[in-house]
Amino acid sequence: SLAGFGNLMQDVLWCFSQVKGTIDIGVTEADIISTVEFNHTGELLATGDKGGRVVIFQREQESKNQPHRRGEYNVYSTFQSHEPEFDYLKSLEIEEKINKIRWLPQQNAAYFLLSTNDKTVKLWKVSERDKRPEGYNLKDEDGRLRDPSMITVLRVPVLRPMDLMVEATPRRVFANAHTYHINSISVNSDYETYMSADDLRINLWNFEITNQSFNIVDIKPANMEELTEVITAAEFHPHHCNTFVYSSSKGTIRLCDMRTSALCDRHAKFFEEPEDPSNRSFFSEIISSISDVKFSHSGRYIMTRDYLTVKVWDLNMENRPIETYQVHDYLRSKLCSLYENDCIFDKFECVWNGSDSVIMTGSYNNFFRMFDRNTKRDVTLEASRENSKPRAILKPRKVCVGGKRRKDEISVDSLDFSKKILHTAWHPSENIIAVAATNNLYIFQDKVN
Amino acid sequence: MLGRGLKRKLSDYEENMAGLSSAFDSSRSLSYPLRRQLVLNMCLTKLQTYKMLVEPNLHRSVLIANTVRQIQEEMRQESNQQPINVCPGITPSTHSYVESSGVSLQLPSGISQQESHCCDLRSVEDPIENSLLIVSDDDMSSAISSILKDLDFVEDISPPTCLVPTGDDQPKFPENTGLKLEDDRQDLKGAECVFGSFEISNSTSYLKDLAIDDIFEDIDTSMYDSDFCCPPLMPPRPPSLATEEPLKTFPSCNSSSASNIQICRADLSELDHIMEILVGS
Repeated sequence: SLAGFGNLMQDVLWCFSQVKGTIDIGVTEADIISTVEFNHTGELLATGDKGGRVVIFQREQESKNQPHRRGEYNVYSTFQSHEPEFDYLKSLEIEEKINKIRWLPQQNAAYFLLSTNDKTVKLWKVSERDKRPEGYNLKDEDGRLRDPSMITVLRVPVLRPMDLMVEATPRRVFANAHTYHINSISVNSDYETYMSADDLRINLWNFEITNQSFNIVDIKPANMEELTEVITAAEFHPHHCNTFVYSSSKGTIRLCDMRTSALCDRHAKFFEEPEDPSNRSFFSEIISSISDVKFSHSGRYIMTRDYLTVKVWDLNMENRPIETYQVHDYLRSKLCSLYENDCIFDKFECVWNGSDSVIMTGSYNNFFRMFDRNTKRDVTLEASRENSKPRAILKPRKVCVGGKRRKDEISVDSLDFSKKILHTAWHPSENIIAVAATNNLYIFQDKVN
Repeated sequence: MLGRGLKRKLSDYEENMAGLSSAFDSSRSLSYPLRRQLVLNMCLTKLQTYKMLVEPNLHRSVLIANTVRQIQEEMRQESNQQPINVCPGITPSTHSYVESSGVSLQLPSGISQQESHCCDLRSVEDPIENSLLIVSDDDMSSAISSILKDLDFVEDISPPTCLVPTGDDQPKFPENTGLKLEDDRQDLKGAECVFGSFEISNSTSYLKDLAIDDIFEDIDTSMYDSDFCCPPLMPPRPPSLATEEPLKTFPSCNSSSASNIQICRADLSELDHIMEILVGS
């Protein structure tokens, strides 16, 4: 059939599935989505926003009656994870914005996730209750205590069904360990520890212990005036619980092994690409700052995102990436303007698909990009209400960089830089993606034939 | 909101800057020294703005400081290589320039061997150049160091030395209930710098304003609340307190909010869980 003819990625046609959030023209800042994450099975999808709230969506069971609705995501739980705080000692306000959410693998009926703002990490337990015990001895049905001297008969409480209730309870609060702003959290493959990284330090936590953490990386210089580099992201290796990587504002990645020493200031591997002299500009260092680093599911590669590119690195080759993908190279000639309006500091994230064959990252104008590592094809898609008819196939977009603009193309100067896709997520095993566009969450799926 | 940075209004200068940065991007006729000057001015303006914030963004400050350092290094190398030259037509528009024995101006807009080159470009670049600040090497250094000093927050955690637990030692506690000044000289220096930029006129006044409870709010008692090793039966308690008293399990540190509904729910759901075990679901 000709269904795929003319499309860049012929194997997959992406369709609109759902959008969450309001269509209001004025966006409440608290509703701006700041992180998106599927859990390990893809059954749950969590978002965090600037207002400190977490919303969890659950995929509904697929129904034989409506096979084309391949498991829609509906709200499962909503809770306030973090509140704004005021640090009296430093006279600073601590934002409630959720910087990152990371799921723990499911070990029993309840779900656990970590959520963090700039200073405090919290472990949340999300559990269902569909039965409630009735017939207590010491309290009546309203919960009021009964006078024990009036109790003459003992009964055994029984469980009776009730409407499903999903509760989120904070199980641990890991606070007071970060002087600077937390940018990353990562759960270790041992499922007993996790790390939190701020601009200058990385701490290792045990889930059971909240009043102490081990500092495993510290790049703060003795004299702050000598500071030239900060930590921008960090992640544990998916299988080796002693290995983690962290990226820097200078475009480098360090891989550390916790077995070698308690304080991992000396890296085991150092990944850096030599600078291309032909691309040198005043903004070279700023655009080389890595905004996100992600291990592949296989653990053999890492992917990094800087302002203009996405790079894939082989863990065995430190001197250059094995693949480099241009996200929006047409911005290279606009760097001064983007510096002036601070867009050059935007921190885009990047994600792998389940099989590590496709990578995805966001751009401006609500565009997001996918790169197929095998076919070397790439596509630009847009998250917008106009393309939001049920199961409508997303049309590839194209930015015109000069010369004659075709009818469906958009020129660089017409791009809306306030519409930025910073956060995306890919289902762990299926072609389902979640794209956060300011205060809206778009869910796209591949076309069902 | 308290502690927020100043909200900038779009001033004439900034509108000018927006126009200049477009000129930078689109125009090829801007000379390299002028482009560099433009970038330098933008950097210093940003650093200046950040300094007015209560909490400047560390990541951005470092990136901008590095850009200034890079330009500064370039200018130093240029001034080392070439003799000081006078470009009579250029009029500096603001304060910081060095005048020695009458003739030489420290021209950060590039020192060119050819006066004629300068003067030819004058007609194109004068309006642009006149709107840019002239900056000395010292200005650049002091801009960098002052923003970075401001980011040296006084730490309320222990210095992160090697935290390998021995048989006897307890691993260091990262939290405390008060301000802990380090013994290290550099951290004291940092402390002074931080306090230099804060207005704490009366160091005890804010302690008086705090409710007594707030001071102790950040004591973490969560080690006494254990999720996974609680005994199947609750310890004996007077019946009147049986299920109604929530454990203070998760105090929010530095929080001004006294109520925390989730704490109560944590406790009740724990009891429900125990009930379910007893009842045998």
